[in-house]
Amino acid sequence: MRAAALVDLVARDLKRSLRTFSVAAVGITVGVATLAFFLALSAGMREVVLGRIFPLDRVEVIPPETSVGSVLSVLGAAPAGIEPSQVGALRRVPGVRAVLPRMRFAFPTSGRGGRAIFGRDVGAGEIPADGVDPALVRPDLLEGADFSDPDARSSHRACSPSAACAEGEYCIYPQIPWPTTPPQTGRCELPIPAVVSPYLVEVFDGVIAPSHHLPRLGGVLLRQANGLVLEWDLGRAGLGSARQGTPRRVYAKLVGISRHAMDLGITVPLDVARRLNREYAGDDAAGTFSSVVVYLRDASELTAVSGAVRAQGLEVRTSGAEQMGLLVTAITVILTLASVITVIVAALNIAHVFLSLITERRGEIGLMRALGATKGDVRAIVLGQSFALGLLASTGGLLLARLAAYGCDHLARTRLPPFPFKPDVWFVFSPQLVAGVFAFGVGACVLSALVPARRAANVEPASALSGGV
Amino acid sequence: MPLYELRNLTRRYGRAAGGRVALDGVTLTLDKGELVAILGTSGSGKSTLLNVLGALDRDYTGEVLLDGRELRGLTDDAAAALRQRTLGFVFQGFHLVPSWSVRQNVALPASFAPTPVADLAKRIDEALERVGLAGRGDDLPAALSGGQRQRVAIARALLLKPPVLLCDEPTGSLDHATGASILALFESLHRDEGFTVIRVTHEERVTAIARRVLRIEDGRLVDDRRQRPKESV
Ligand SMILES: Nc1ncnc2c1ncn2[C@@H]1O[C@H](COP(=O)(O)OP(=O)(O)OP(=O)(O)O)[C@@H](O)[C@H]1O
Ligand SMILES: [Mg+2]
Repeated sequence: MRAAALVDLVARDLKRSLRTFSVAAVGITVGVATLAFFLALSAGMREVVLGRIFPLDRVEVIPPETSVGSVLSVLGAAPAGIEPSQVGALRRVPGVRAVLPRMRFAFPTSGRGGRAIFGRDVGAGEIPADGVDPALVRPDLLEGADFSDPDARSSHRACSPSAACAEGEYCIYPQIPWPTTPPQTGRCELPIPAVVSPYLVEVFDGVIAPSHHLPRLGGVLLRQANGLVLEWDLGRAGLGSARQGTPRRVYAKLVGISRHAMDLGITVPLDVARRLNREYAGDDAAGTFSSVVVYLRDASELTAVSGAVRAQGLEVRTSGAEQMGLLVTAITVILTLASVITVIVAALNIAHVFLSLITERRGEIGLMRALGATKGDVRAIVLGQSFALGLLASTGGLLLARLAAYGCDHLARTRLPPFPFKPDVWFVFSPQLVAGVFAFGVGACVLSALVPARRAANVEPASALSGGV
Repeated sequence: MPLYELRNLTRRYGRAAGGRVALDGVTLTLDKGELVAILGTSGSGKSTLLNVLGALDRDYTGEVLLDGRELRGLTDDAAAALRQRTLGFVFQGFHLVPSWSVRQNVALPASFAPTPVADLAKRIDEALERVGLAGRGDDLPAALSGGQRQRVAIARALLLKPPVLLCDEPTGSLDHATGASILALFESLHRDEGFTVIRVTHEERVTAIARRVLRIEDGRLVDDRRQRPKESV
């Protein structure tokens, strides 16, 4: 039979049995819709969890037994560090795209600021901080911001409470707390440029800002050309003081939000961290790195690179990415299974509908055979119907899923309170997902019609015709 | 070469030994261009014979040759192609698709042609005109009388002008005048257009137009008589 004739017959048959078929197809539509919905949701979750919370394309390399050391470093203990030579070796590991050495502040700091934005100062008794290579952060900076050690650029002019610095500079006094007599004189310095992580912004905007009725930082910071300036007390914090050096107050200016910033803390140029570590924690702290972020060429290189790292006597900090990935996968599997079962039940129902239609139309099948239809033609007609049914049902199901996803996204945007990493879009309908689900729906329909199609093809024309109307 | 050659054709329903014998050792030859009436009472085996002639039923013993080819030896697809090219069927039941228009019903054989049928719309019109149903093409079968439905079935058989028409006639459901007009239609198809017409019937009067009358009883051929057809019925 020619394709055009087949299409014509199939279309006419579908039209004829529209009601029967639409009832049968509802199951496929619903199954396809839920399947697409859940797969898109878990793809969305995967993107948020693995793309933003626990990126899979990088590992953090730390010196051995540093889990204790990193806590102590806040308190001023000097951790064992990663030598620059080890960083070079990491860079040469196959599968590594880039390495980012980080130098953690090996002494306590605290700070407060944000009056201009929040209307009052927001402070933290302990501010972890570290320094990174400015080149990595540069794309994330506000326009015109300079992410480098401001020491060389500052005027260092003398200043005092009565003699203010020029616009943009701050008067840095040699010590805190300030002795009242005699009045101190300080030097004018530019603020230290700093970046924070989107994670911190998320936590602030999602948890801190709503509960303290503060404006959300992300939007404000990006609009505020001037950035946010922090009073930053070096060598002095709620839990203790630095072992050496004189605590003093400097200023830090938030000049961007960067994925390369530390998760909870502020990140400054590497030179600043080195200079201040030397001053407050000694040469050892200034000569080694506290951790190295290793960026992978591909997430699949994770295992190989981790092995190479351990071979160097360093450790890989587990981010929880693998566990979270597993969790997302498990949930996906369960929801997918439920949808797949829906589709299978629907397909069985379709098989039943086809079987009863074929019994009902035995005479017609016999007629077609008498008029020259081969068994293959009869089979093609039944399969063609199921294929068309699958196309319609799957299209409907995918549209339904897309609509439901839009609806859920809208509800989440308008009704859900903000929380860290709250996604704007919860569903990811990748072309592969759409194609796969579509093929599954159509395939289920066609498969369900295989047995009916064979039965139709095997109808004996002579006996079918004798039972005719 | 004769059109059909049947030798000792036997068709048994059910298990080989105890089954009902619907055709019992039928031997006969049918030529091209004949107008043959096969007469028999109800249950005598007429439909069974027609199904065998139409290659719809190939579960027989003996020999059935159409144009010298044994039907049982054909593959299923070859038998289908043979039906498509050579045979036109009119069944005891009309077998019209109730939700299709008359035109769509008549057009059905074209769906199984290996190449697109040229001027299909024109052919449908011609076939409908030939059976006296011009202008009824867009009606549904339900809007037609029994005789008209029979004519639709005939138009469908004529659509692709197969050389052989096999007709299983349910004239019982038609009144005398309608039956007579359909007889006349077959006669004219035979006479004017050269169709080979093989019709089965249980009505004696139907044999009037035939040149050859075969009579079967209980599956056996009991009479094979050639006659001069009467001019009218
Ligand atoms: N599929 C079948 N299974 C079993 N027996 C059958 C079958 N088809 C027909 N028969 C039997 O074969 C015999 C011949 O049947 P057939 O249909 O050929 O009769 P017929 O001459 O066409 O009768 P009618 O004029 O009533 O149509 C009958 O006794 C019938 O019961
Ligand atoms: Mg019969």
